[in-house]
Amino acid sequence: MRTLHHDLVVDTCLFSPLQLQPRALFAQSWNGLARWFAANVCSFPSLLGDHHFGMVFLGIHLAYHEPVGFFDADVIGQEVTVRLLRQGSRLELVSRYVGRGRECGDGRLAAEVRCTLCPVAITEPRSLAAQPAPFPEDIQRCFAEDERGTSTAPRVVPALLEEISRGVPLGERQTPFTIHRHMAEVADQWSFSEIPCLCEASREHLVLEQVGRAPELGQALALPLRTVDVELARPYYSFDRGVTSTQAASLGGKLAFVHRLGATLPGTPVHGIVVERYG
Amino acid sequence: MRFFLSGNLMRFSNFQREVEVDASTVRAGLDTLVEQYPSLREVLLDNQHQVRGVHKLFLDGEPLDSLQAAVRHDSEVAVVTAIAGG
Repeated sequence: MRTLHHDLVVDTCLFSPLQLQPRALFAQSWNGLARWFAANVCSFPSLLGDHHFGMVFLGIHLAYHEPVGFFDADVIGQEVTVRLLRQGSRLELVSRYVGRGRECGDGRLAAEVRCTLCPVAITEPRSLAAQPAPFPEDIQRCFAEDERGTSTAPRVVPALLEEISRGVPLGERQTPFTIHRHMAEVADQWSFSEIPCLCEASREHLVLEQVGRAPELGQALALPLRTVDVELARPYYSFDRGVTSTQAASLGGKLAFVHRLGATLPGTPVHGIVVERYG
Repeated sequence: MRFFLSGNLMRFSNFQREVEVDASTVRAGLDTLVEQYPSLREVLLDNQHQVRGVHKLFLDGEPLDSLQAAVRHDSEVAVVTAIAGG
């Protein structure tokens, strides 16, 4: 399996006071996929413009491993692998982030982002509207034998929701938002790297409003996230209006947040569900 | 009747999210809509003048069965681009 290596020189915006920003990891993972494709298949402009294919996300799992803060590393090494699954109808992207230099020395695994994507065939070039379809054979041939597989990562969000439903509810909140173009990409479709931002905004509103009543909520601003799990059903587009419905719960003293990304247009009641866990 | 457009379609409607047209059916309303915004025609309709499969229509919140469905002056038709995933 071919691994693409790329070094991110540490700058302040990669980090919150607590950890590598989820937004930065999501965005770098997407860029890592573009790099891997450019090296082994074709560039993204060629994929969309010449092959008339794109990709959308179905599921994302972000796991933080060893602590790596801003002052702990000079460089974050990114390691990207990609696998083609289910006869070209799914793609698995794994992007690992390893701190190097300073406290991290030769290497400390900071985080891993694991994504399941669905290829989509562009059916209308002006809007870049697309429908799910397996990659054509000329693209599939670019994957090595050990970069092809059959099974995709199991869905974890339903089990997490079930587990969290047995926790102690701590509060809930609805946070409206509008997708502006700075949150979107070339097709006026939202950028998936905005998912952590929408969730974080709603979570922080909830905590700041309700921490006086439920002091344990303060952990959500004081401790680093451990995992973020995302399951997506529909994208948003520029200028779409949505609402993040956030619920907080305590599971054995550890915080968890469930965010349901909803819409105002009919037919798309839930665009995605995000579970953030601490501890 | 009033059309509500998905955000990705708004650059083809001069950034109008809501468009009011006079029509007695969804089909007639669509014809007026794409006449008013010609850029929308190619994006929204295929060569057979049918709504492309990536767009789903909802009449007053319910999935639309037929473009021939009758509409009232206060009917609302949402045009949603319905790709799976995000």
